Amino acid sequence: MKLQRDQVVAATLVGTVVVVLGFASGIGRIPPAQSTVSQQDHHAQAPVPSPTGQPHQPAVPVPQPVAHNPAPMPHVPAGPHVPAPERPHPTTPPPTTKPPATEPHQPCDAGAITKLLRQLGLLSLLDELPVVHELPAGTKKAERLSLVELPLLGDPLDLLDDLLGTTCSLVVDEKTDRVTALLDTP
Amino acid sequence: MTEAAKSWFLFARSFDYLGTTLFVGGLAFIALLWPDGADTARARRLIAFGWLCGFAGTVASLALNAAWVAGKPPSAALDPSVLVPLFDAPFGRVWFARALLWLLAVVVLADLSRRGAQAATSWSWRVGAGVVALGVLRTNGMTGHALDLPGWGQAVVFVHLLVVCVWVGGLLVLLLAVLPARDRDVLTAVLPRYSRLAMVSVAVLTVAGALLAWRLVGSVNSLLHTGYGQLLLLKLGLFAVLLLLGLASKTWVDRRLSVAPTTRALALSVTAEAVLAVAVLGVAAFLVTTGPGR
Repeated sequence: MKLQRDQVVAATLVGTVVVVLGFASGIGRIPPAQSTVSQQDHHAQAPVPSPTGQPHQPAVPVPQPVAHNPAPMPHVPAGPHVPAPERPHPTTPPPTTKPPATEPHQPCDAGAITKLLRQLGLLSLLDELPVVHELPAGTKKAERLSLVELPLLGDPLDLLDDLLGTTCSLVVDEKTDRVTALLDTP
Repeated sequence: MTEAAKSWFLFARSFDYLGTTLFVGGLAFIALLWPDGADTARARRLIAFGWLCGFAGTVASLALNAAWVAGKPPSAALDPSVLVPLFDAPFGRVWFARALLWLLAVVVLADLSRRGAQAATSWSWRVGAGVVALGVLRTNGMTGHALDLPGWGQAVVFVHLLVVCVWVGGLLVLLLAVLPARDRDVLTAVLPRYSRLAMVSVAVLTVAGALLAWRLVGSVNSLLHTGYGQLLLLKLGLFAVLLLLGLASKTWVDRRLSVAPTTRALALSVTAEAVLAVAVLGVAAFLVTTGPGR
């Protein structure tokens, strides 16, 4: 079979497009989580104590910066999307004489959330994001749906959503719409 | 500063959308409806203009996206320390891949310019053009909200983009290349074909759009009370007017094409459709950079 030039060009185009789309999909990319340096960075992150003085336990994995990433960019895991932890299923067993064990409340991971927001340029006026348990006057709770006002693309938005989990919310000033605190609601 | 970068990013993305629509829709129009149009300078220039908008819009979007995410002003878009980290992020790789696909599209354009209608009727050119166009469309669905969609949702996004390009891109070719030629034979041959293709495209678009709206918004409350929902309502309103104008154009083609002395009425209707369609593309650029309402 004799190949014509335009057929060769078409076949080359098909192959190249497949390769480029594979690159875009991240096929063959080594997950940065396996990087030793990334793990060191992960351990280097000190948790931020909450105002209540209780030891702070991270609610979700802390985002790991990419090792060779000099700019303040939040790393987004290349793997499948990890859903935010969900509340316990409402159909719990009926109470017995011995109360069923309940999951301990995991407080907001203020450290990771603060870091992400600062990297995204949303905390220009605050050094730390205070954790509150009630809404201060003149503020409102930023419902997860209203994260639309934040200048985030899909990936950082997912990451922030994961970090907030089901018990944490951002508190924004009613007038300026700036993030002012983190609301921890057990 | 971040807001300025976001505004410029939206502007660049609108250009990218316009270019994608014109390029993919133009290629589809030439390949499926009007192969002889490849011999006309108007059609070739229009598709080349679409390529230019798409490529420039993609490169600018890539750089401005980097500046926006890094919280820097638009002027930082050319700073390597801002750009390079973008390639470590999944959406950065997608933008880069999209720019590469636009470069590949030069091969398709060059062949079309060299061989004209002969290329447009050859299977090898159609396969090459089709795969590059589909690749460009696929990268559109690999950023933003589409990432959160399941497999079927991503397929719907792809189909949604494809039919938008076929419909709106074809509309622009009709307005800027077919109608100005005032060739009655071409009009009689091309208009009924485009009319049928547009009808199928609109039907598919309606179903795909409804599925995506249901998946991304989820409730009437979100539709009414979130920024995403309100933008979607604006887009739907423009789309409804667009449908009415499309219906008027189709009625003219069905009843008046063979007897009307001039195509002035059709040209007016198609012009209004095209202007509205470009406005819808602008709203779409805002939608993809706004968090979904669900």
